[in-house]
Amino acid sequence: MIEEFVDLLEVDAGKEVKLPGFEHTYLLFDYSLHSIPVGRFRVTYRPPRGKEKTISHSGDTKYDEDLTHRWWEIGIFHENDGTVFWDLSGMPI
Amino acid sequence: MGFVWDADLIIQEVGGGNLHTELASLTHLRSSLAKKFVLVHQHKEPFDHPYFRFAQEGKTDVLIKSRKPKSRTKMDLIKDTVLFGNVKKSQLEKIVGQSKIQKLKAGEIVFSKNEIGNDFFLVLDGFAEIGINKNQSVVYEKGMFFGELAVSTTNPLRRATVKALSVLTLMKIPKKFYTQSSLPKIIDEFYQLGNYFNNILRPGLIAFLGLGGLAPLGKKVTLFLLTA
Repeated sequence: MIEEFVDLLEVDAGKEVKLPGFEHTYLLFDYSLHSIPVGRFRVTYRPPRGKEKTISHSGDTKYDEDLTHRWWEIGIFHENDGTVFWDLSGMPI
Repeated sequence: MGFVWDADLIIQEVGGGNLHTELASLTHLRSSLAKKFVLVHQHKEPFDHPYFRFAQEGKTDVLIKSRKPKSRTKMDLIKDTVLFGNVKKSQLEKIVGQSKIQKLKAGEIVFSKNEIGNDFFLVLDGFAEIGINKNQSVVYEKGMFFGELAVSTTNPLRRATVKALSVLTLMKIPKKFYTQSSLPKIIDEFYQLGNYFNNILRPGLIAFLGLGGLAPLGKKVTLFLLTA
């Protein structure tokens, strides 16, 4: 029954897509750091005229910049595992 | 984390154990940024913070004030529907003028199978369930229409029971306007085929044409119908 109310939309991480059924509204999905796969997303309303507005939502997430740095230094993360973390300025850490 | 944190409203989980974000790891944020946060999923009792807001169980907060919607006329409600895409404005105004808006609560019946039908219905908002039999039903949503078989064929009986699955708003359109709507050609042909079977076999068969399925035609004959 619930499936009847849900439109599944397959998206690629990091690729913004226009939300079907909405005008000027875009969804961007990405992954969060956690012990199991979890996601975060942002929904942006970008009208032709007027101010752009964005709502973001993170799922279960371990966010701790200092701790993430320490984990990186002791080799918990590897260069080739595709994991990228960002600081407040949006730069990879 | 720029992905999340340059938004105007930020919903961030906090708490829940070592594998989650601790509030302490966010407290270095500048106040202008912190004020954009709504913290959720906390495992400790929320408290008043000068900048951060906590979601609290059972409490409702207005995060974004909605604009008062403009009042919409019946014409506004249907002018963009595919069904009337090719109908001239003057004709559409005539149709709308003689149609009624019908609002139902979840669970209410729009019409029952075998009733005589004199109108067809356009879904303006909500969800309607078309019951084919005990095990099969389809859900219609905004922009879809139903009830047209009883008004477009020689069999005036409703083929199925339709009920509201949610709060449902319909436009109830008189029978005479059916031929003036712009149904896709494939639908017209589809119904012509349906009407053929309808007249010579059994009324319920046409419903199966919409779904694909097994339609028992007699004691020893079963027809398998598959729709693309």
